Amino acid sequence: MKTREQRDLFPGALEMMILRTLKRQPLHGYALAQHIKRSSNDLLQIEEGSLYPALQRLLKEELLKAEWGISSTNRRVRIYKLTATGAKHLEHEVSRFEKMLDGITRVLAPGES
Amino acid sequence: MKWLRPFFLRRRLYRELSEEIREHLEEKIEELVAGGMSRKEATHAARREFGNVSLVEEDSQTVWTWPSIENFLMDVRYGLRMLRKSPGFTAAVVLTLALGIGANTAIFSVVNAVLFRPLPIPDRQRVVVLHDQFPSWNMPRTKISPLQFLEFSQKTDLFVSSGALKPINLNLTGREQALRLQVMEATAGLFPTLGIGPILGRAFTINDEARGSAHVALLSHELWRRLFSRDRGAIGARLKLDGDSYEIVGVLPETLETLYPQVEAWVPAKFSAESLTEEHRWYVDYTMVARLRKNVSLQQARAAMGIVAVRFNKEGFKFGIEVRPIVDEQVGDVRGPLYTLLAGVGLVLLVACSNVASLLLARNASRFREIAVRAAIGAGRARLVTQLLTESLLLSFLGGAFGLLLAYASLAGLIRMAPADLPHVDAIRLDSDVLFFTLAVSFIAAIVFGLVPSALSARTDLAKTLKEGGRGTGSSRVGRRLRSVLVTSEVALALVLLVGSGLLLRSFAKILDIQPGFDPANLLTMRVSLPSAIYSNPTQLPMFSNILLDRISAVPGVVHASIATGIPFASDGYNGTFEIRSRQKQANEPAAHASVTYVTTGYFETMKIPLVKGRFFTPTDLRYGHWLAKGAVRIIDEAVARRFWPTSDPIGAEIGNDNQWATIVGVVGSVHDRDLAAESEGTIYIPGYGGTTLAVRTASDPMLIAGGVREQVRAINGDVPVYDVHAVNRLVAASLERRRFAATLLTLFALLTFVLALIGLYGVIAYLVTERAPEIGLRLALGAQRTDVLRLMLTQGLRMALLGVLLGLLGSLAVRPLIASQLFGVGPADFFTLTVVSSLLFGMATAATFIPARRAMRVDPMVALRYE
Repeated sequence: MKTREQRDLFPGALEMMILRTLKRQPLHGYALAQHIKRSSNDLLQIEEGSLYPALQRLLKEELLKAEWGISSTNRRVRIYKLTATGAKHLEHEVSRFEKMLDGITRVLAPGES
Repeated sequence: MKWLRPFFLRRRLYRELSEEIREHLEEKIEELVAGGMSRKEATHAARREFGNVSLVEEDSQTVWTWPSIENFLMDVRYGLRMLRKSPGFTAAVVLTLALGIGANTAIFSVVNAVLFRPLPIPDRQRVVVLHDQFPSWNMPRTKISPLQFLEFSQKTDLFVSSGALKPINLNLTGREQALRLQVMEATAGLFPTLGIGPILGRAFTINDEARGSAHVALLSHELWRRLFSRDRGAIGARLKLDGDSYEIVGVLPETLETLYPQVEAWVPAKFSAESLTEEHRWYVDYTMVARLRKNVSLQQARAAMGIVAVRFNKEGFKFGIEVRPIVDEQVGDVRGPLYTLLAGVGLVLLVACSNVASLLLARNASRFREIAVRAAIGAGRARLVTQLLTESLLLSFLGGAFGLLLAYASLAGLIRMAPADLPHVDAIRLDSDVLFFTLAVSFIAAIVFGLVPSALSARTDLAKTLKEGGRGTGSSRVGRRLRSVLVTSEVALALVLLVGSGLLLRSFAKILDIQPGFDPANLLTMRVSLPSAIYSNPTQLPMFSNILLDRISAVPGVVHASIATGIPFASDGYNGTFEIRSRQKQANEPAAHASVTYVTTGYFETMKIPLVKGRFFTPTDLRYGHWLAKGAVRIIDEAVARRFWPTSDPIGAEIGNDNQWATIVGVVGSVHDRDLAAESEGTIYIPGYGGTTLAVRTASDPMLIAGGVREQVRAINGDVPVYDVHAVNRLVAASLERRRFAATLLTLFALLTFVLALIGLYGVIAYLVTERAPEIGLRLALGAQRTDVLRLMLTQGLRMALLGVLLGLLGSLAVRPLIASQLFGVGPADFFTLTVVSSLLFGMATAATFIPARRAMRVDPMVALRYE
């Protein structure tokens, strides 16, 4: 089944960003979307909606948990929080990503041999 | 149960998700409005930023679903919708399947109860029954003698244990009412051999077998309930059986009654010294049951007993010992007929399935456009096949459900129709085995009739179908060919069944034509049980018998009355051996052998058995017991005359035992004594008192006179129980029940198949006419005659019918061995049956083709062509 949020990103990137953001602090969906957009300097053109299937997947795999609460703007929102498994998963994914990035960088690096 | 959570919480999850997304949009809009946008612009912008809301929702939901199950449920919903949309098609399919599955369920429930229900014997395949075989006397299976039992049971290298048993009847007195008990005499070894012990008290021991030991008895569970209301105090109580007092030492379990259903009490077998002498070697009246050693196979036991038997073989005399699993002993006789029925009903289902497949092919052909559209928007072939198969499954399970109802409704009738001697008939019911069978059959049926049509439809060439506006394409040509193959095989299968049932019916008719050798109409029989004080007394018995006959003869409506030891179809006579005076017998050659019946003078007149030669008995011939002396006479029947005096005149010949002789004074006609289809081995009639079976010739319905006759017995002696009161013609009819049952059911199945095949043929031609209407219209427009069109269509149908009939004839020849053993008087390739059935089938097939073919003739060229 095709999921649309992966159009511009490599598989798993969105999930990784969500986990990374939530590691710093628990957030609700809207705040999370704004946060990711802001911190990427609007470089990543993702649709805000694409966040939700990813969140559901992470919930199902129990990397996140969610609780209903009240936001700073006084709204009833679902606040997502990293679980212990989620933290471990993030660590693992980040190191994997760094290795991959390292590889890519070496290949793309001009002229050094 | 974590994996179940999504399934139950799904609804809540979805609701929360929608709410969350709504809040997200709201928050965004408010922020944008706060930034100075108008509410409308903000809503637009928020939605643009967010993306497609419903898609996001759907994608998020998908995370939680089980794709296969969701798809399946969707298929089911879709399938149900499709079926609802064409109620006529659905009804036709479900009805066809219900008939097929229902008939199978009903027959399976019978087979399951009768054949598959395990006997209550542990390790039952090791338990065997031994029989004597006298092939040269045309006696394939008899009981064995006490002497043989002792000899055989000493073969401890073959048998762990063994027992002998013999049914007897004893009078139970000393209670309010005299009762006739069905009792089994058994040796102590029987119960360990069967592996069945008493639930209360003890079984027999070897000491109980000793002559002169105290009388003991075991009660069946049923009699324990009836006499003692399951009171444990029954142990030690006493029963008065035939005047002797028996101590009850044990109660047997209910399970034993599936093995010996009629037996009410058990007493130990005590072999007399005389019965164990060499002269009594062939006095066969016991059944031997043995348990094979663990390391001995049935084949080994048969071979070993074969060596024992061969010792007795002589010139012109063959002897064998049969070793037969006890399961065969119980149901061996009905296994063949039941399997024939099962095979027959299986064919019904096969034809039903093929009819349904044919219908599905036609329907799927008209759904090509729908299927092509579904394929075009991305459904894979596997997905399409699954969808179509799901519809098949739905149809099949609907058919199965209705079939179950049908089976349930017909089971009572089936049981009523079943022969009374069908073993375990009371165990027939729709139990979990049967439900499972129905489920499995429905499932298999769905695959059988659904797979090929589905696969065929899914193979549709998309572009072509869509371009042609959904009319038939290449696949429909395959479908058409497939449909004619299906119909041809239906016709073939129907013919096989029709031939089978035709043969059974013809056999049955031939048996009905057989004269039993006496007149069973208006003939009453009943048995009396005389106290031994009368029975064993040489003056009392004749006196009692004469008074009884006098008084019965005086009852209004009674024409003749006589007493015999047994009369045909009512009670078993017994076998006896004899010598023929001045005929030399080889040493070790078994004695001549025939049925023996003691009769009073009026017997032949009462039974209407014709005199062939010589004379009947006169009152002066009558004696008490087995009297042999000067002046003693015998009458033999034609079968005995043929066997022992094939070329000479038996009148005047002398037969007897131990150098005492009686003279043959008459020859009478032979009678069939148990089975109309079996030749009797012949009877010797002895003029004498000793019988306890009454034969009464009546002027009208014998059962109306039974009461009066009974009254006379009671008037003479109130202690004499009267039992087994029957109209003899009912007994003769009952002996035919098994054949009637098999023939009736198979005929029913054959007709069902026949109708299904005709419907199939009709359907194919009707569909062909509709499909080819434009072509026919074109032909007509171009000048073809209407009769040409009719001929075209008729040829199509008749080709299938003819091929089907030919294949069916070949098929009936192939299944000959299955039915041969159940036929009587007709060969399995009976020319008459084959001709009649083939012509009938072909004739009806022509009619079934003609009706739709005529429609082709009436095609209006203008109407047909307009659709082009």
